[in-house]
Amino acid sequence: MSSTIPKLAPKGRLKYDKVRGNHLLLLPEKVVVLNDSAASILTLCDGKDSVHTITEKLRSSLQLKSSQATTNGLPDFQKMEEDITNFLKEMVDQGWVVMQYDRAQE
Amino acid sequence: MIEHKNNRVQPPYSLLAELTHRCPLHCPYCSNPLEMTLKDHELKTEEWCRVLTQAADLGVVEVHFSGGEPLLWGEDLEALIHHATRLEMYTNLITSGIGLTTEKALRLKDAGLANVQVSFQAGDAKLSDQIGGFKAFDQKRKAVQAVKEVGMHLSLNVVLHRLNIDSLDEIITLAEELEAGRLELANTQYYNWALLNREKLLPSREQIEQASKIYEEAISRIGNKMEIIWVIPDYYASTPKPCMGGWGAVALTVAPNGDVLPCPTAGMIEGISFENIQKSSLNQIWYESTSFNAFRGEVWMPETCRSCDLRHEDGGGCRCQAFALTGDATATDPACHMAPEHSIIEKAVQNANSSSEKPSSPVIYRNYLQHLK
Repeated sequence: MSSTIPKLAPKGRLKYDKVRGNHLLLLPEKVVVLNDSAASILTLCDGKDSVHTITEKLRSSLQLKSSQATTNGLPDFQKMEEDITNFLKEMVDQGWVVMQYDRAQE
Repeated sequence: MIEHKNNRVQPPYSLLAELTHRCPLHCPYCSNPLEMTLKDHELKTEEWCRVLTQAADLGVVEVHFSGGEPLLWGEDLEALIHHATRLEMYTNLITSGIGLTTEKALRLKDAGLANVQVSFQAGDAKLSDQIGGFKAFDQKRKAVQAVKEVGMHLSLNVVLHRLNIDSLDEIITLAEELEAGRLELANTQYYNWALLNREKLLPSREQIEQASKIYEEAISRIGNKMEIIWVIPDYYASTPKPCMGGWGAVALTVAPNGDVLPCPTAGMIEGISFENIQKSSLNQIWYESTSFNAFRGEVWMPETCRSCDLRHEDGGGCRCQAFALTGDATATDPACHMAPEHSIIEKAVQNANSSSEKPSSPVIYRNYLQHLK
C-alpha cells in the first residue's frame, strides 16, 4: 500500500471556500466539507506521489508549522502512514480517490 | 428583523441555471412551467456571466446548466462554463444529448466542464423515443460516446413513471453498458406538465415494489462501480420529501428570463412574486426578498407541522406540491399521512391501483410553441 499512488478521481475538484472558510471536495451533485487534515492529504493526491511520499511531505510540513517542534513532538511515521492509508481507503470506497500502482513496478 | 434573518440564513451551495425553455424533446412530465419563456426574453451571455459572478460571491460552488436543452440556447455556453470555472465553481451540463458532438464535448471540456448529465427516457430506443416524443435515442447514445471519448465524468438521468418503470432492469443495464459513473433514477414530480398527465404516469404499488427489488439487487451487484440514486416516490412514502433541502436553504434557480426561484417549479405558486436578476442582485434576493423568506424557518408552518417532530426532517414537505394540490402554498404537503388533505394523494394512489380500465385520453406532450410567455 505504501508504494501505491493515490489520485483524486477525475470527477472531483478541491476548493477552498472563502465564503464559509472551509475546504470542499466538489463532486457531481455533491459537496463534501473537508477538515484540514483531509484537505491536506487530498491536495497531495496528484497521481505522482506514493502514499509513502505523501506521508513524508505531510510530516515535514507539520515540522515546519510547529515552531518548537522537535522530532519527538511529531507523530510516529508508521502510525501516520497507517492513518493516511486508512483515510485513503475510505476515499477509494466512496469513489473519490483512485489508486494506481507505482510505475517503477510496472 | 432582517439582521436576525441574515444571521440564520446560510449561503446557497448550488445554482440551477436554466438557459432556455426550448427543447427538442416533449416529455409529458417536463418540470418546466406550462407557460414558457420566449426566446427573445432569454438572458444573454453577459447577463449570465454577471449572475455567475454574483453567485460565486454569494457562496455557490456548483452550477448546473440546464433548460430546456441548454445546447439550444443561442448564446455562448462555453463562455459561461469558462467563467464559472475561473470562479472555481464545479460545472455540470444537464442535457438531452441532442447536439452534443465529440467536437462540441471537447470544447466544453476545454472550457472547464466537469460533469455531463444525459437524460434517457427508457432503456430501449422505441420506448425512449415514444416518451420523449422525438427520435432521440441514437443521438443520445452518440452524445454519451462523445462524453466518454473526451474523458468527462458521465451521469445518466432517467425520470421514472408508470410507462417505463417496469423496464428498470433495462435502464440499469444501459447505464452499465454506457459506463456511466452515476445513474439518477428520478421519480416523476407531479407539478406542471406531469400533473396534467398524472393518471397516465403514476405507477402502481406493485410496480414500485418490483422496481425497489431491482434497485436493491443492482446496488449490491454493482457496488461502487456506478452510483445509483433512487428513493421511494412520495406518493408511496408516508412522509413528504424535504424538498430542495428546504425553501431557500441550499440551492437556487435562475429561470431563462432571469426570475430567481428557490426551486425550478416555484414559479407556479400564485400570490408570490419572484424577483428578477435584471432588477436586484442575487445576494439581495437570497437574503432579503419576500419570496425567499416566505417559507424559511417555522413561522409559516400550519399547526400540523409545527406540532410535529418530523418538521426538522422534512420542513413541512414541498411548497409547490402543497399549492398544486390544495391551492394553499402554506398547507402541509398532502404527501404526509398526517396532512389534513392527504386524501388527495390517497385518491390518486387508489386510482393508480384500481384494476378498472384507465381513461383513454391521450398523454399531453410538453409543447413549447403553444405555451409562450
